[in-house]
Order: sequence, then C-alpha cells, then structure tokens
Amino acid sequence: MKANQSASVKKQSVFSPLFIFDGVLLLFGILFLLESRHIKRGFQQVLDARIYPRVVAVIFCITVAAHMVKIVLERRAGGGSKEKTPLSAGVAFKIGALFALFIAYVFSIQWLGYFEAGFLFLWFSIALLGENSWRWRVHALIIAFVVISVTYFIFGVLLNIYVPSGLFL
Amino acid sequence: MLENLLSGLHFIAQPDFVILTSLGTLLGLIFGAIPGLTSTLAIVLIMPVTFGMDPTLGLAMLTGIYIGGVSGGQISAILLNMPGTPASIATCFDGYPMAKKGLAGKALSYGIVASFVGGMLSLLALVIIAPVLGRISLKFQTYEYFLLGVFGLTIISSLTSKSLLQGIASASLGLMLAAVGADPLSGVTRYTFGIAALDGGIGMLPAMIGLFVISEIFAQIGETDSEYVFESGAMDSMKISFKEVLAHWKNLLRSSLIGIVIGILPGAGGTIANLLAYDQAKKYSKHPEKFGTGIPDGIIAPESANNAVTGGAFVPMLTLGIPGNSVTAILMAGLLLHGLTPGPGLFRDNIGVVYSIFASLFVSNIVMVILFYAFLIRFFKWALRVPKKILLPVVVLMAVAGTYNIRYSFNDLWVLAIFSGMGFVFRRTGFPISPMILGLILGPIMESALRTGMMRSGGSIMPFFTRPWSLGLIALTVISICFSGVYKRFEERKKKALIS
Amino acid sequence: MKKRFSLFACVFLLGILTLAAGTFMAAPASAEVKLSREIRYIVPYEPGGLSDITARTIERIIRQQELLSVPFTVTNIPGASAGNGMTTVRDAKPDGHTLLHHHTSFITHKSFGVRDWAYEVYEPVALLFEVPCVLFTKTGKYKTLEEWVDDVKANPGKTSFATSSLGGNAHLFAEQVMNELGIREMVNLAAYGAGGPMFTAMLGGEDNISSAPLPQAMDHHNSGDMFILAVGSDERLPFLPEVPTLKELGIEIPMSVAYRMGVWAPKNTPKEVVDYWYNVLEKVISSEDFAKSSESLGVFPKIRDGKYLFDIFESDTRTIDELVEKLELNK
Repeated sequence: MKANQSASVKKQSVFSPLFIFDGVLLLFGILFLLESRHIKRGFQQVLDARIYPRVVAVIFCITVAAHMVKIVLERRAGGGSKEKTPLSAGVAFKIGALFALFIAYVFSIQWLGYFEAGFLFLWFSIALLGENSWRWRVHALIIAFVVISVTYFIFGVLLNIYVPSGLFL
Repeated sequence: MLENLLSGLHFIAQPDFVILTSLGTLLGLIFGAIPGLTSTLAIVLIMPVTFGMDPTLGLAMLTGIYIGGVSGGQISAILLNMPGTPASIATCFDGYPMAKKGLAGKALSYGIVASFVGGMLSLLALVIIAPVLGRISLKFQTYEYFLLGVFGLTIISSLTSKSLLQGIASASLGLMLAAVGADPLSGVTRYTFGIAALDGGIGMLPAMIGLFVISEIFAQIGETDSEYVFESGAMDSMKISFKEVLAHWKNLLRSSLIGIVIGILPGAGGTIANLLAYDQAKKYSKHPEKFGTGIPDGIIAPESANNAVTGGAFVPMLTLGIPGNSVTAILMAGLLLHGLTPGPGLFRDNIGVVYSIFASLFVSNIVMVILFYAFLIRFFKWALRVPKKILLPVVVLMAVAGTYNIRYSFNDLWVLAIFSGMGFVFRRTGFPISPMILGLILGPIMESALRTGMMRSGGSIMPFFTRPWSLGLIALTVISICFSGVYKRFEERKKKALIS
Repeated sequence: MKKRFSLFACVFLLGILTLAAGTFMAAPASAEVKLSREIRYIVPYEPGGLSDITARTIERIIRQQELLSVPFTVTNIPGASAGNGMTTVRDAKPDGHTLLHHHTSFITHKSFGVRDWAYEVYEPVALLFEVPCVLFTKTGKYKTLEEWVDDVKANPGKTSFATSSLGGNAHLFAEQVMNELGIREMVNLAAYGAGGPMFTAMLGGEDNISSAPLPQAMDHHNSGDMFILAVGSDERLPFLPEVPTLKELGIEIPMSVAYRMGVWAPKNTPKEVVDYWYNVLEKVISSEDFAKSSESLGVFPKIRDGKYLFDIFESDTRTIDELVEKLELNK
C-alpha cells in the first residue's frame, strides 16, 4: 500500500477519524450487549448459552473504550498517531461505485442467476475501472462476454459447480 | 516396517497411481491459487469421479488435491496480496512486499521450497511416529482446547498489532461475531437481531474472503499509479541457491514443527499454523522489525507451517478414526465408502491403504514443486499481464462463486459483502485484522470446549489446574504475555536510543 | 525442457477436465420419466458424516447400476442445524429434480424450538433405513451396564455421561436411560456439540459412558477401542449377537430408534414422480450392494413408501414431544 507511506503526522482535534471509528465499534459492541438479553438460555448446562457471548461482548466494549481513552490521553500529551492520507475524490468515487456494483451483483444473483448477474457486473465494473469512453464500454462488453463464456464452460459444464441458476443458464 | 516401506515404493512405481496423484495435485493447485476457491470444494467435486476407482487410486487423487490446495494459496498471496486459501493469510505479510520490491520470483521460490520441506517433514513424522502422535493428541481435551485458544489469541493480538488493546479488541470482536447464529451445544440462536439471514451464523470462509480478498481489490483500485496489479515484466529470476535456503534451517524446522503439532489437534488447522508460525518466526528473529517489509523468513515460516499441517492432519484420522479438518473428514468418508474403517484397525488390517496414503503424500509433494515451476508460475505470469481494470472484477466473480459453494447459501454472500466493506474500513484505520480472523475460527471451538468442560466437572474450574497439560498451557500463556510486554518495552527503548 | 514440462501440465489439465466431464455427462441410454436435468440429492450436513456417507452410497449404486438417465449428484448444504439444506429443497421446483436426505432430527429440532416447521412442508417419498442407539464405554472400563450403574451410585456427581449435541437423538436416548434407572441427578452430562470431540474425549478416557447412533460407535467397537454395553433396538443385532438389548436388561424406553432416514421432495411434486423415485430407491436399498454397505456402517435397510414415512414421523413426533415435556428438557 503506497498510501500509508506518505502518511502525515499532524495535530488534530480529539475527534479524529480513529476516535470516531472506535466510537462506532463501541456502539456496535453495546448493540450486541443489548441483543444478548434476547438469547434463550438453552437447557441443562452449567454455563448456559447466554453467559459466554455476553462476557465476550463485555471484553470487546471495555478494550475499545480503553483504546478511546488512550487516544485522548495521547492527544493531550501532544502525541498523535498517524492518520492515512485521505483518498482523492476520483478514487473514492470509483471504490464507492464498485462497492455499490458488488452489492447489486450479490443482490441480483438470486433472480438473474450467477452467470447472468456476473456478466452485468463484469461489464459495468470493467467499464467503470477503465477510461471514460464509449469505445472502452463496448470493449468491456466484449471482454465480459468472453470471460463469462469461459467461466460458464469451466464451472457450469466441465466442473459442474453448483451455482444459482437463472434466466437462461 | 521395511516391508511396508517397500509396499509404499511399489505404489510409487505404478504409473496410474502417479498420474492420478499428479492430476489431483494440479487441480488442487489451481483451486488453491484462485482466491475464493478452496481444495475442499475441489475434493467434493472430484469425489464422485473416484467412486469407480480402486480405493488406493481414489484416495491418492484426493490426497493430491489436498496438498495442491494448501500449496497453491501462496501464488495469489505473493503476487496479488490476496490469500488463495485461508491457510496463506500470513504469507501475504511478507510475500507481497517482497514481490513489490521486484523479487517476486525469489519470493515464490522460497515459498515453494518451504512448502516442500514442511510437507516432507510432516510426512516423515506421520510415517515414523503416527501412533505416538495419536496418543498425544488424546491428552488435549476440552480444558486444554480452551486454554490453547486463549494462548493463540493472546500471542496473535500482542504481536500482530501496534497496540495490545486493539489486538484484544479485534480478537474479541472475532469471538463475538463467531457467536452469531446457532449455539454449538444446544442450537439456541444468538445475536441474530431478529434477522433470519443470521441464523446460519457467520462463516469463517466468507468472512475471510471478504476481509482479505474483496477489500484488497478495493485497496488496489486506490492505487492509481499502475495499470497492473503487478508488473510481470519485472519478474526476477526464480533461482535461489541451496545455501540461501539452508541459512533459514532453524526457521524451517521450527515452523514445520508448529505445523505438525497444530495439524495433529482435531479442529485446528492450516490457518492457525500459518499465523502462529509467522509470529514465532518474528519473535525468534534477530531483526523482528524487518518482518512485513518483504524478507524470506516471513515467507518461509507461514508456508512451511501450513504444509506441515497436512501430515499432522492425517494422524487423528488414521490412528483414531477422528477427522481433524473438513478435508480429512471427506477423505475419511471416501475410505468408509470403500468399506475401509479408519482407526487402529486400519493399521492392523489394511496397512496397504495406509502406505498408499503415505506414498501419495510423497508423490504429490514432489509433483507440487514440479508443477509449480513448469506450469503454474508461467500461467500466473501470463494472467498478470491482464490489466487491473479487467483482472480485479474477474477475481470478484471467482470469489463469489467460491463463497456460494461453501454451503450454497445467499446469506454467506451477504456476509461476504459486509466483511469486504469492514475489511476496507479496517485497512484505512489500521485496525488489526488477523486476531479477528483467528477469533472467528477459534470461537466455536473454545466456547464449546469451555462449556463442555464445565458440564463435565459440574461447574468446578479445578480441572484447569490439576491436569498437567492444561497447567502447562496456563504457564505458557503467562510467560508469553510477560515476554511480549518486556519485548515491547525493549523495542521502545531501542527506538528512543536511535532517535537521541 | 521447461517447454515440455508445461506441455505435460497442459495435457494433465485437459485429462482431468475430460475425466470430470465424462462422468458428469455420461448418461445411460434408457427412456425414462420426465427427468431432464441433473438430479441434486441434498444432504443438509457436512461431508463425512453418516448422512453424507449413506447418501453417497446411494449415489454410487445408482451410478454403477445405471438406474437413471440423468446424473445423480449428492450436494452437501450444511449449516444452521440442517436449515440451509432444508430451505433449499423446500423452495425448489417440485419436479423431482431436487430431493432431500434427512432424518428424525426434523422432529427434535422442532421440539427444542430450533425452528417452527419440519417434515410437513415436504412430499414424503420413501423411508430408507433405521439406525438404533447404543450405550458404549472405553474398552476395559466396564464389562456390563450394571457395573456402570454401581459406579455411578458409588460416586454421585463424579461420573460423566458424554453425548454429542444437546437435544439430539443420542441425548434424548441418554436422558431416557438415566431417567429409567433413576440416576439422572448423580451424573454430570457433558455435551460436545459434535461427534468428533466426543470420541476424542471417550478415547482419552475423559467420560465414563456415552450414547451414540450405532454407526458412529461401530468402527470403534470393531477396532477394539470402545465396547458397546447395550443396544436400544427391540432385538439383538445380527452382526453384534453378544450385545444385550436394553429390554433384556429391564430398561424400557419409549423412543429407542436414533434415526429414521427419509427422502423428501418439495411439496406438490406430482404423484407419478414420487412413485418413480420410490421405485428407483427401492431398487437401491434392496440391492445386495447396499445390504453389504449397511452392515459395515451399522444401519438397517427398511424401504417403505411415502405414506408410511409420514405416519411414522407423526407418531415419533408425539413420542418425542411427550418425552421432552416429561423430562423437562426444554427448560
């Protein structure tokens, strides 16, 4: 990763991204702790089904909270941990768009089928990652088609891997 | 003994035996090298083909797939920074930086040689002392398993992360997420937040593929300075001299030993051995600070350990009739389908089958090296000429197919998606990931071990202190924590001395 | 030289692909009912377990005797206490191309509240075989069941009883036996959640006695590591003639069968398809090959039609529900 090599050390407010991230984790842990009230105890056990997950969640919350305190103390003392340089807007957009495409892909598999949804995902994501021209978009279409045909031949026909079937295949 | 070894040699001399083992190894290597596809999937797919074969031939082929699968994971770990199988997670830590330095060929060669040595040493252990090892594995029961889990988690959290607090947080996050779904003993559902999709729990494999493969794809997109994941034109020579390998003999031996021991214990496995060996190599190294920057030791340790697991994993299956991991469970089913019963009886009544397994382990370890140099690396060099913008989406496609095939569940795909997002955030913030993965693997084992142990003792914790092996593990954990504390302080002092 | 190696490797690859393709595509030429695609025979458990092994034995026999015109493939869909596999078959097209291989755990899962639906959402096809439960110990520990009972009474709270998962059939069997003997309160029950760790513990001499479905204990009994003290079936087993039944020892329990394995199709599968499958399965189960396999595995072939399967599951449900209520197992 090149990005972290050029990490910069600068003085920031206590509410740094790291601190906020820890806060989110703590919230997550508390959510689990609250949910643990709904666990049935199971039957005939010395340590029932509720105790262990609850203890683990408590340890998680404590360590995250302690880490938050540590960040605050370090900042007060003038120190500060390194933060990564933020992503440029263009790259952040690409990553976000690809993640959205990935979610859409996973979501559509159950209706379209593995190969059909995979074809669309390949086409859109290859087009997205390449240069912004219609020429490339057509190329992406061809590439996606070839890759899917080959995968279909290997997975669907030769190896007989069980993938969700869909509209056509 | 000699007679039996000769019968093993007799298998090696059969052409169909060697060809089927090689075919299996090749298939395993390919499945292992593609992130998302695992050797377990390959074995399940090929199993029907082996029905019609002689049991020794069918088993030889399946064994080949297993060895190939474990070894193949390093290719994508080193060249793409994506572990091909969970057992290659730690290989990425030094493999990819070394490849980035322009030493990809060397990195791969170190990995291949280490795999070979690890595999052969564990085979040696299997052949010579399998029954003894089987008896030792029986000393490890519920109490010891729980402590072993605690030990593993503490050393991983103290060594792989900058702050011990974050390490423990990450490990307990893994344990907490492992508790989602059905409770291992009574089937009560937990932490599902009323969402039916979570009833099945969070699988280790979908989580691992999300954290290490898909999120790495996002990270690669962030690196806009290169058209390719890896400039294959810059590939160096793969030659390493015998002397260079020999210089690491201590590391090879130690890591293989870790792999063998972990392999013997049912339920543990390649991923744990891979991570533990890396940490131990770092601990014993004279230059621990160089780990993570691309040094041979950081490749040799994890790769020899995960291959050393293979021989060890056969020990409980062959000597006790208890499979140690999913792969040996399927191999055992293969034996049973042919009317052969694993366990001590197998050594007594069907020693020929036992030696055919030894022979196929031997052959597939050798064939693995040959296939690597002759075929696989060329193929990957060619595949890496595909620009990033095409390669990365194709990897996503493979990862999704692999994830779905673990248990044909759409919920696993959601787990994959969520963990890939999590993995990306963790990478950006520097939150350690390996303790969490280990927590996910060890969680169910540790929890059921603890609760079963408590049920047996009627709630008393005394067995932890009265059993010799468990007392030893407690001592080991305490020493290890103290050691890492002292070590960290020592490091800091050294750093300060350097600055001033 | 290196070129030649890669050529070899390419030939290997082609070889394996044709090998795989050959098996999956080879279809015996016989004109049969409506089966147009490959058959997915769903096992809702991991590969390597009893369900998987018996299903794969059926697959092997169907392939070897060429009973079908299309490929028949066992597919493991484990997870969520068999729930993933069950859901897959429930939601599949009811055309006879997707079948479920599942046993009495249907009932226990429902009784213990794992899920609120069970076998009634399927079309019953056939009962395949039954599996009895056994009590066993590490060889040399006890020679008869009475020795164990005496030991328990002499050391209350110090002995332990190992079972696989809580609420499973083997656990239910253990509870019935201990309840019948009146020693439940004196024994620590240790549940392991899976067969592997339980046998590791038994081999290591951790627990005094254990209960399991016969096939799991069979291998260890044959190898001499474990010793079967008693069997739950009504009559002595033909291949274990020296082992007494619980009845002979004066222990009467209502639910002595561990598993009844059935084949289930999605609801609304046409009757002629169900009948067709029953005929195929009957040929498999009554074959000599299956008889041989079942003897070494420790299961009892018992082929019956869908109606019998459904009725016996109904009556088992009542028995189990009563037991769970009486022994207060769901508290």
